[in-house]
Amino acid sequence: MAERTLPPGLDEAGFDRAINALRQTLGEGKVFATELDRNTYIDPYALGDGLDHAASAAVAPESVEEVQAIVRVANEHRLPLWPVARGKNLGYGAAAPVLAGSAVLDMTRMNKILDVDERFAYATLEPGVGFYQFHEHLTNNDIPLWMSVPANGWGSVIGNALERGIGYTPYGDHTSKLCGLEVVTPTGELVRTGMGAMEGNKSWAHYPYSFGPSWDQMFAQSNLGVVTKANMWMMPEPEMTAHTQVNLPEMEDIEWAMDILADLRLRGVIEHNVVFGNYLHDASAFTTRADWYDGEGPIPDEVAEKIQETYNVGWWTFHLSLFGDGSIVEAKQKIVSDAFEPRLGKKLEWRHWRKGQPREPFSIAVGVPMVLPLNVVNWMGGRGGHIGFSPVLPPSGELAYDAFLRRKRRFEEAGLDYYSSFTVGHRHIANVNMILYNRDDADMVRRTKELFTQMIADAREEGYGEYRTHIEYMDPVAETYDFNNHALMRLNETVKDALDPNGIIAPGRGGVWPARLRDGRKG
Amino acid sequence: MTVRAFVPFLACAVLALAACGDKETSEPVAEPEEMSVLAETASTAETQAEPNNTSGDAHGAELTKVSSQAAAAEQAKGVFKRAAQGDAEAVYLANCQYCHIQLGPGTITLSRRLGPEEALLANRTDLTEGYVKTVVRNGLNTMPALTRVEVSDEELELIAAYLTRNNNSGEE
Ligand SMILES: Cc1cc2nc3c(=O)[nH]c(=O)nc-3n(C[C@H](O)[C@H](O)[C@H](O)COP(=O)(O)OP(=O)(O)OC[C@H]3O[C@@H](n4cnc5c(N)ncnc54)[C@H](O)[C@@H]3O)c2cc1C
Repeated sequence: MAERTLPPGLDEAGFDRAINALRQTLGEGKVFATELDRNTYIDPYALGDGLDHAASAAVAPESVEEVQAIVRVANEHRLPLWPVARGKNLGYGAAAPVLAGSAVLDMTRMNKILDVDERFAYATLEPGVGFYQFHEHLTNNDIPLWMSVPANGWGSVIGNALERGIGYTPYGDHTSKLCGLEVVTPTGELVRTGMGAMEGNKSWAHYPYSFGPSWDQMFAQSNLGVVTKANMWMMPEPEMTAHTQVNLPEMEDIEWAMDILADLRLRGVIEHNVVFGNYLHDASAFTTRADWYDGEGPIPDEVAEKIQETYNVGWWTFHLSLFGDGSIVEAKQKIVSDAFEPRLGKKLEWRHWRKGQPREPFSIAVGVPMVLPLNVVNWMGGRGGHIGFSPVLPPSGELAYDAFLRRKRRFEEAGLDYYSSFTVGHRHIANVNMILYNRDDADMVRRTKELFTQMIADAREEGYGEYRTHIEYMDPVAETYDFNNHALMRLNETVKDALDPNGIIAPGRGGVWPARLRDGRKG
Repeated sequence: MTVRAFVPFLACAVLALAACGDKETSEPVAEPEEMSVLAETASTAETQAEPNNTSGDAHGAELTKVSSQAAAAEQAKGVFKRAAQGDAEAVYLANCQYCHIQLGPGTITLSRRLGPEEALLANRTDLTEGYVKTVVRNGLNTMPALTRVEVSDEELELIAAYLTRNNNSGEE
């Protein structure tokens, strides 16, 4: 299987010295450097064999002090570290590093739920705390606070927020719910951001900005530190919820429906990220493509219709939820119904849940984690994978329809099934275009890569950039942020070099390379 | 072009799973008229099963709900807490319940491959310890490999022992 890939600048002897130093510092059982270990860190959805992003080892700290010790050893030996929380960033590279030969700094074992404050609705968590673990803690202790969870609940509450992941309750913009971080800097110093910068401050989890410059976002999607704990705001359990499903029969319907939805979102009537998705979503969770169609090329229209019929979905479908006190939910329900029903030509059907009843619907709409959507990777057969191309758009029906037509055409040119969601945030759309592929089909992998690269260029041309990307595409995506001849990249590099002089933390993360490795940038 | 009758197949799978194994029987299969939930790559809230869903199939929505309910039912028994104390069943659930639970992705995939009776891992009687360990460390098809950080070698021993507990003696 995988040959050992060493990080640039380290030969076999130098690398072994680094690993031995880590072993000596941490003791046994915390450094993982066998061939099997390396293989388990290969991206399971890799476009190809994944060896171009192979880790050289992994190291698993159990305390803040151990994180500091690891960072110091890494500096001494010039060993690049790739920090992950639970490393379940599936579709974006999972736990695999951008730079092959990096050692994964795997925080899975730092999984303490340090504090949950019911009254002020926040939790202080270590990065290894998973959504399921936290859900168990909240429900078993009758804590009336709701999480917001992504559609893959296997990962970490903090890891997902640091990646600017999203969920589907009103607290679904996860990174904005971080309030104060504890961070080990690239040189091993321990810093607390926000009010936590004051020893003994009582408001760390209450006010995010503190005094003077504010740094929390500096550590999201970045390579400027290792987060060792964070405060996360949580949603107090609402008194009531209401839920409805909207099916739109025609692909053109996105234009008018998006405008209504965006307005309701802007005015705060609807407060959660809305997955405005095409008809493939359910079918791909429960079946494979071969169940429907075994021809080449994209799915024909009649098969698409059959899928819609089977799953009671439209060409587009989205679900809306309302949360809050009863009178507010009822008032909002009327506003939403009045907004959509005239164009739909039928009544929306609403279902309700009230506090005290078993949580219903039982889904990520109300912060209950699950991983069922992982099944989508089986769609194309073989060892499946997916990769999402997610440019950010203004929440306009006209622009969404235009982007939809352009992306769909590219999928068709590549002979791949168009699978998309226009996920509606407060003031934007994250247009997640998911390419589902079979890793074992070299030609399909090639077409997937070409499609992805093409979409980066197309979107740039149209004036859009991605909100997050796969480890394979960090450089080209960073490249599209090109105002004033890439002034932002120069700023990023200046900060990187100042804080991480040895270029230890996650080289290449976000397209930002430390000085010593900048020449190797793929661009 | 083929359009196969797979949804009734899944409906059978969910019913079969609900009927086998003591844990699963405690989990209700969603009533057709119940409010239900759609899979969330797609979506996040519930939909009412449409009356025109005449085939009597388990709707995607109901299936999704069963999936998250099954996991939560395990969590209600304190899986992570018990796992930390070395309880083998809990160690298995804490690490594998994500997918190998009623209507989890692992169960759906196994149901497709081996049939509904063989789909729920905890009920199998034909797994060997060696096989369990190999699959966990190498992955299988779309199942990702699990690292030694996530599942230690000691934990993997417990998982393998748990998954082979019902094997006839004489087998491994
Ligand atoms: C079918 C499917 C559906 C998905 N749906 C969603 C969805 O709805 N919403 C969504 O957001 N994602 C979704 N994902 C993507 C992904 O699985 C989740 O975002 C997942 O939560 C990320 O894994 P994690 O939480 O373990 O984070 P990690 O992989 O641990 O971390 C992600 C990144 O954050 C940074 N990071 C993590 N921890 C630290 C730290 N301690 N210090 C510094 N940096 C750190 C690192 O750069 C790391 O690569 C989906 C994936 C699949 C396959």
